[in-house]
Amino acid sequence: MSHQMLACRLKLGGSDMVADVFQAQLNRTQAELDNTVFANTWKARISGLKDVQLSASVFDDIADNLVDEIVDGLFTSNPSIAIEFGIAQSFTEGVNNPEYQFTSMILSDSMGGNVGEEAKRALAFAISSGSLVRDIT
Amino acid sequence: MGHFPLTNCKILLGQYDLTGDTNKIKIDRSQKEWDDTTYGSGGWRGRGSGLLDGVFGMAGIIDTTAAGQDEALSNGQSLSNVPMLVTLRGATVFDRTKFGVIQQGQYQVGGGVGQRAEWNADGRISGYVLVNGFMMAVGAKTGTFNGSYLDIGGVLATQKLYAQIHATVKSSFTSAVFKVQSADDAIGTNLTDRITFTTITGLTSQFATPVAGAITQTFWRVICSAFTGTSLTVYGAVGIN
Repeated sequence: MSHQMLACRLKLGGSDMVADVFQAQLNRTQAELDNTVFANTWKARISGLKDVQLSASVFDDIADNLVDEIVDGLFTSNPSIAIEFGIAQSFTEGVNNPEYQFTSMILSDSMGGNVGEEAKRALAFAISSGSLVRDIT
Repeated sequence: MGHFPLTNCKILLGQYDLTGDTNKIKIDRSQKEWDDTTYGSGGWRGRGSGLLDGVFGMAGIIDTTAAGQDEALSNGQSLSNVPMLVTLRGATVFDRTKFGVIQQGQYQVGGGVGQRAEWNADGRISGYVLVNGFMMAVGAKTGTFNGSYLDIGGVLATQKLYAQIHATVKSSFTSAVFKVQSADDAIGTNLTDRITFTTITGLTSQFATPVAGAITQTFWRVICSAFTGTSLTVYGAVGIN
């Protein structure tokens, strides 16, 4: 495999958002705990809590069962929203097409804009329980 | 339907229609996150859901005429629980809408010499919820009417029925009574009154007292059961949350 252009796939609570998403970024972090003692001459660190957040931007669609209704339902599903995210379009996971999966809560939903702009929504999610899974099977 | 440009939004605050004075609208919905991490979380951050919040952000061009945009937002500044309603794609019957009662958070006007007079404001949900609903009555009404049915779904025991109405323009108008009704189907079987708005006698807005579930009927409509006068322009919305 080589470097590739982003062609992200995204499912929110089981709903396929590929036809609407135009930006998605998964941010995985780990807290650093200072483990330095007087015997050290270099800073020492150990790993603390892991965290994962996802930001996504989608074009809005208020038709029945589409973006507006899906996102509205996510607030009801809090904090147990299944997220599936990958950097290729196919939802068929494999060693060359990993998929990141985690259980989340939706933090924010921002819609609207200036007159004449295309209607968009900015969404933010954060892990709520369990761990981030990199699924390749 | 599909993706769409923001060229036909409808913005109502109280009895004022701000559509012609607004060029930016933003609806922010959020939920507070609680840190729910424990020693049993396996080394990953855990989160729980806290309070929901909703904010309408808006901006546009100042209109200082009587009953214009500046009057609406200046009056709104001193009020709480002012009904606000926004549609992003249009305001015809069955279009989606966001509505609720707000406390106006801030209102800014002014600028530098020679600039066009512009404003920006925000309204923060001050009671109940930010409702995701549907437009059920739209436009100038000249007498009683029965609105069309829309299958919105039933109201679960954990949910409530919400309704809001804005009366924005009148002509030789005396009074009108508006109701929200539910039925088993689109032909009105077992028709039941669910909400009756306070009799409207002038330009006004109302956020009806929410009705608790469970309601198993799934078809909804807005009607006007009594009307005296020549014309009244209304925007009525219904939602379940």
